[in-house]
Amino acid sequence: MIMSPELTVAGWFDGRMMRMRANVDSTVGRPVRVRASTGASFGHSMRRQAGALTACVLLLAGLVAGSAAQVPPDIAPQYKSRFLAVGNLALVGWAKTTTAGFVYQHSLTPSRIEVMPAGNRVETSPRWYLHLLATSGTRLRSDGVELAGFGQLGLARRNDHPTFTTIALVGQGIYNPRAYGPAARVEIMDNIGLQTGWVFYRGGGSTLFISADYLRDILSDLGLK
Amino acid sequence: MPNSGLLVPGTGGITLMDNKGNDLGYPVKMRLGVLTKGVLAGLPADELVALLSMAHVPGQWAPFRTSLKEGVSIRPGHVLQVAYNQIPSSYNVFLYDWRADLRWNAQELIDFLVHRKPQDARWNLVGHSQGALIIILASKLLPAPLRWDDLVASVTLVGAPIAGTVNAAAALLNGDQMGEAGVDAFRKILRTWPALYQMLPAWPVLVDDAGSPVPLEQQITRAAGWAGVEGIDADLLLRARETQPLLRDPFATMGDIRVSVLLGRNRNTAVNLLAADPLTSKPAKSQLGDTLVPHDQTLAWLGGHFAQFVITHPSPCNVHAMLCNDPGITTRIKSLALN
Repeated sequence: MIMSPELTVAGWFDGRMMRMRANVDSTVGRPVRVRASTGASFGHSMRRQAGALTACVLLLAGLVAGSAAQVPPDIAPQYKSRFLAVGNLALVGWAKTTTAGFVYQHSLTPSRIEVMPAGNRVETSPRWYLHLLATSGTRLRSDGVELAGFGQLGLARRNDHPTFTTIALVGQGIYNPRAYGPAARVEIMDNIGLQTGWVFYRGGGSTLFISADYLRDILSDLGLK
Repeated sequence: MPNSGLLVPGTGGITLMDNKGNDLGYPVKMRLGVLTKGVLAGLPADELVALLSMAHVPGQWAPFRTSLKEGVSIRPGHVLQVAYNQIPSSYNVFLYDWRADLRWNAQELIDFLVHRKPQDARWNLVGHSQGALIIILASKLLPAPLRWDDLVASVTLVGAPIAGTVNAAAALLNGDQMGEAGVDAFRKILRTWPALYQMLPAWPVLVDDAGSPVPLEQQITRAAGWAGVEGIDADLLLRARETQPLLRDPFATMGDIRVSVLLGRNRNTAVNLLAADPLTSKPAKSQLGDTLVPHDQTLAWLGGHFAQFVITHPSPCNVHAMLCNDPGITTRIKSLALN
């Protein structure tokens, strides 16, 4: 039983203040408890007046019942998105690359909202998202370090699997070495992205591509660093 | 000045640290330690019993000891971003020891809300799991003449086990999920944590072979409900029975603010356990929920008025622990709590 709104009615009777309170069950629109009190003694005639006032209070309480003190959420369909700052480790052929950047995913359609007979709203989120990843950093070479970068654009689908929350197919471009190609991506609990694909060098030739992006500071978060 | 956001994370969503500032590594590093007997990382299970067990004095909400290991006390560390990576970095985080009495932490939250209240503005509260319960209890325990709606502009509860969860009983029975090597040790440890008892189901969870609830005196918040199970603390069961009525009418003292409850409804979630001797955690009945909060059972326990504040999230939606990473949930949180 919900007894949120409290209605207070006060008035002067024979020079004495009388206050009446009714807690209102806003579920069913009727008052559930009425209490009357005065600042002084409460005589027989006062009881009759209090009875009349009680009736008024009950009437008023019935009128205001149903409007809870709290405001229920007023929600409309919305596009869903997520942004995550990530680190990235990649092997392009055998060249190790370390970069940092972000993952951004934006739903292709808005959510759908229905009202259930019980009164709750059901919001069904979309499954398909536009996926974007951009990172930049360094590539280790035997003769030194050089600037490197990745970019991915593709389609991601959210799953109900407890571990592999998202799968995606992406096209990606790499800077240093300049290459491009398709990749498959899987995300673990929205914290780690694993991808593998095949990239084609701009000057000819191709190689395997493996990379992992991860929530920055994930190791210290898990007490492992 | 705009309102300020405050996240109250859930059970295990905040690291635990000792009094020397060392991260105890709960649960990942700790699990590695248990599995490898402390060789790879952390500590073996038997050394964790004294470290992680708590002591309480009947009638007192504050913990008497946060660790039974000589010279050690435990305090909250930092929030785990792996579980809250979509909560805006502009949000403040209320850090608390999620093992302790919910009412103790609710009082700590009240202190936080009052003493760090933004000037000429209020708080937008987001509570996940146990964090949601602490927000509700804080609103109930707020001392007069303070008013909740003077402090708080909105409350958004995510995966809130307001009616409790069978998983709390499973944790007390099985010693969390630390693997075979840690079962005995973690049974002892978890049975000293009041918060787990206080999150036991408030509905008649124990049923007989025919599926009918057993009498109230034999339900799970009573000692008789734990037939054949050693180490269940009568005082901590009493704390559960004292706390559950405070959660029954969750918004009664919140005043004129915006309230929303986001619940998942796409995964099997236990609703009933078979009353047996000894009691086991094998569910007698499940329904859709988020793996921890059974959706329909929670709405039924709280009554029809509560439902109008609920936004149900069917598939696709993350498991309970990762709800605050799910874009469907977190985009909605941002629109509810940041406006």
